[in-house]
Amino acid sequence: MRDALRSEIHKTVETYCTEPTQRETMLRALSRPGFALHPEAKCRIGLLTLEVHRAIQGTLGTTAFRAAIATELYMEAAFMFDQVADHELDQADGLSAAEELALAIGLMSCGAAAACEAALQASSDGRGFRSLLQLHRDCIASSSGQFLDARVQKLGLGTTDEALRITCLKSGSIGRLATAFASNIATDEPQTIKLFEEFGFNLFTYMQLVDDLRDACPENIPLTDLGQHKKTLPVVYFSNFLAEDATVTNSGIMSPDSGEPVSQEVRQRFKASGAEVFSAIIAETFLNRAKSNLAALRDRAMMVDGLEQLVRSVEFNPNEIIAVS
Amino acid sequence: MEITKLEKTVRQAARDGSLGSTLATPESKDDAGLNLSPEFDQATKTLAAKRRVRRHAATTLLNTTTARWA
Repeated sequence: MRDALRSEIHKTVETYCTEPTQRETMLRALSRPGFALHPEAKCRIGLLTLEVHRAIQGTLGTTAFRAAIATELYMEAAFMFDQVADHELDQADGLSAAEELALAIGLMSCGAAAACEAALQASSDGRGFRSLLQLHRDCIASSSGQFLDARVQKLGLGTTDEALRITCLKSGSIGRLATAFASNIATDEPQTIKLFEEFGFNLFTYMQLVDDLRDACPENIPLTDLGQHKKTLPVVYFSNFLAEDATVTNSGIMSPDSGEPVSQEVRQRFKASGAEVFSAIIAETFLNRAKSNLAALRDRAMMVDGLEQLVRSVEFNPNEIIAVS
Repeated sequence: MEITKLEKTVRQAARDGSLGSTLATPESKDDAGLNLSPEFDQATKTLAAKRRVRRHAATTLLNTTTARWA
């Protein structure tokens, strides 16, 4: 199923991106590690979209696939933007930041085209337009997260409340984008839609918090979130922890320049600060909420077996590719 | 409960060197296990208390904060 989804993504880009140079560059970019057309790509947001549709309607048809292509391409566009924002351009392609951003806009537009196709196919009784409206609301929420994330990078210390809010906006909104679009296309029942929206929001917030926990200060990896002074939840917690520590003077315990490797002393202080415990508790809360959403959906006779399998794969086998049969 | 309260609790426990005993509670049904994933285990491997963090405390933690953002 994942291969079918990837094939359809390829066809969509070929169909809508008519300028040959841009099209070929875009397809090459989508084949990079971490992107949808890479052989090891997980395509989680597309598969999540398919599973939500199947949970409601019991089958997967063309409409579900068009919706999945749309959400996956939106995700790819956001990911590409992130790489530019984080100065992580792919050296192999030799593309400039401006070229990458132009590709990101192109990807998002291809996603919008696929979304319109899905909405058109589900256009009876206005369901299609309602789903498109919600999709774009979630896009705006997610872009708000990216904007605030970029803004706080240049400001001083934030609060953990702010860090979590940005994580929710940026990543939770992407998850909600997928589950809201799929459920709005597949049903008219408001409470069911609401539960699916919450599920996507909670699941993707959890996944982002786990990523941030993993990337904060990993061993044997020089480029850490801590070293780059990223304003993720564990890094903000640790920064505040240091700021309130009377034994720490402003002598540069944090590496003074963003991008510098963190010292062993800082690593040890980070481990001892409770940043990991704090972040793990928050992340676990969102996972519990996602599971609670699924339990409520099962009570509403939704066929959530595939979604439960997806959650298990995220929770216990984060590196495994989810097989949607 | 807002996350700043949890932040203060964890921070104080870290300073006191009592992170495990502060967050852990006696074994009970509520504490049946946070069941942290392998990825959590990897990320939080230094923290012996992680499996005894109270599930219900974590679950109720964000009720007010995320409601505010909804």
